[in-house]
Amino acid sequence: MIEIKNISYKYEDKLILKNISLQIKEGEFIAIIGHNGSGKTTLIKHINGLLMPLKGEVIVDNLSTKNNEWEIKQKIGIVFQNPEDQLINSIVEEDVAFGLENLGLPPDDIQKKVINILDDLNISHLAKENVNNLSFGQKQLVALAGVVVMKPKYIIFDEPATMLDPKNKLNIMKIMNRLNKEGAAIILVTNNLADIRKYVRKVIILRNGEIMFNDKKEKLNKKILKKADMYGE
Amino acid sequence: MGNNLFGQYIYKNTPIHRLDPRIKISLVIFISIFLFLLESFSSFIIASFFIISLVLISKIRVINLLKNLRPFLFFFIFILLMYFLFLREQFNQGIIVVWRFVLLIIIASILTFSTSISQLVYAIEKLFMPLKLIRIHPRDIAVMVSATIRFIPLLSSEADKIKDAQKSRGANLKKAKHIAGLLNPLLRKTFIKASSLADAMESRCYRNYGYSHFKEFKISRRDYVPILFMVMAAGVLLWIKI
Repeated sequence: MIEIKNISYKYEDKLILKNISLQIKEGEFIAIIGHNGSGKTTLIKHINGLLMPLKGEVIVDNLSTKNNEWEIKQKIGIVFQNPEDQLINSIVEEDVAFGLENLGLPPDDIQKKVINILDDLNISHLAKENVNNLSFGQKQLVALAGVVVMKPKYIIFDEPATMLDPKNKLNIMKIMNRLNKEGAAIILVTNNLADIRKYVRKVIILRNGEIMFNDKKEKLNKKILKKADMYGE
Repeated sequence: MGNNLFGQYIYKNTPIHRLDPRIKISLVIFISIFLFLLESFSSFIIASFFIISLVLISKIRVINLLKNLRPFLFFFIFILLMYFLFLREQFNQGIIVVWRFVLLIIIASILTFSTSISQLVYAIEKLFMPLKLIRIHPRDIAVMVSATIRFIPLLSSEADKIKDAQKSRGANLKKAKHIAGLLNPLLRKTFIKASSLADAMESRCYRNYGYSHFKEFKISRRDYVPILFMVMAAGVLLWIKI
């Protein structure tokens, strides 16, 4: 379980997160929504220890991010918005292997896992391709493969569909749902309400660095969304 | 990605692609030093045949090599012009200088076209292992090199986009004052990308110790063949007194 306990975060004298507390259980499918600048990305960067809170604490499966960063990063994978910025190696299979190399697995194990994940995401034909020659949707799948291959218990998707066409968007949403059914907790960060329609079960709304809603999706209504600046006329 | 082919490795099943990257880098260094030792036209003809045979074996498209040479065209013309104007009696020397640069660029291109970034990184890491003695982690250097090569085409494409945006708003990029309009956003984007990449690497548990490799390369008997070939070529050139 991820426990976020009263965290606050300041950047250049501006308080980005204000006393945030929440819990994310294993196997959940939640969405964190909010307008631009509401603190969504800052919050998720605290969850896997990329950022440390000014105040408060983040506990993942009884480990604090303050002194167990590396262990926590194995449990929590992040798929960022722009795949261009998260592909480290030039060849697809080598990029997917990057995380496994960091875990120090034997080369045979790494190769098997890479083949399996590429097969699983139907991109095994791209294994030897140069990432610069892929379409945007394919790059997003490669970035996803690089995260999922590490078998994280919690997977954060930071606005993964923003730059995708409808077909690739649907594909990513389906993969998220499948990963959730296979046991991973999915945390979807978005500012697009259409993304939460289908698979998401719980919604957290951030507004100006504070949680203003944390409940089942069904309890969301027009009034709450308007208050969160998330409802267009 | 424009015409920037640096870091544009293309997988092909050739002996040069399969060669151990450590041997490849060592050979490139050896050939480069050797090219600086050559002086006569005859030795350059032999060296050119040798390098052309490497291009043919590695199945690299000539058009790609020409694209890599194109940015240096002005430089070559400049050298030849200088020799023509000021050292006309040594013009042959000017041809040799240009010839040497062309061969060096082709050799470097063969390396980048036939070796993936992670293979290069692997080789750099292994060749820099002694740096550990002075507490410099070879993996950090290798990953820095890798990220730089990987991001060159991306930044080049970003620069093109910014250029187009500036031109569409009437900027004349031939004027110095308008160049700042290109450099500022490009630098900003570079820093943002570097920061995002660092986050992605950290999220995937990056560390400079206790890691392994996707592929471990072992120097086999077939890797010694090009070394032997090189020594023979060097011997022939020395025999005809370079």
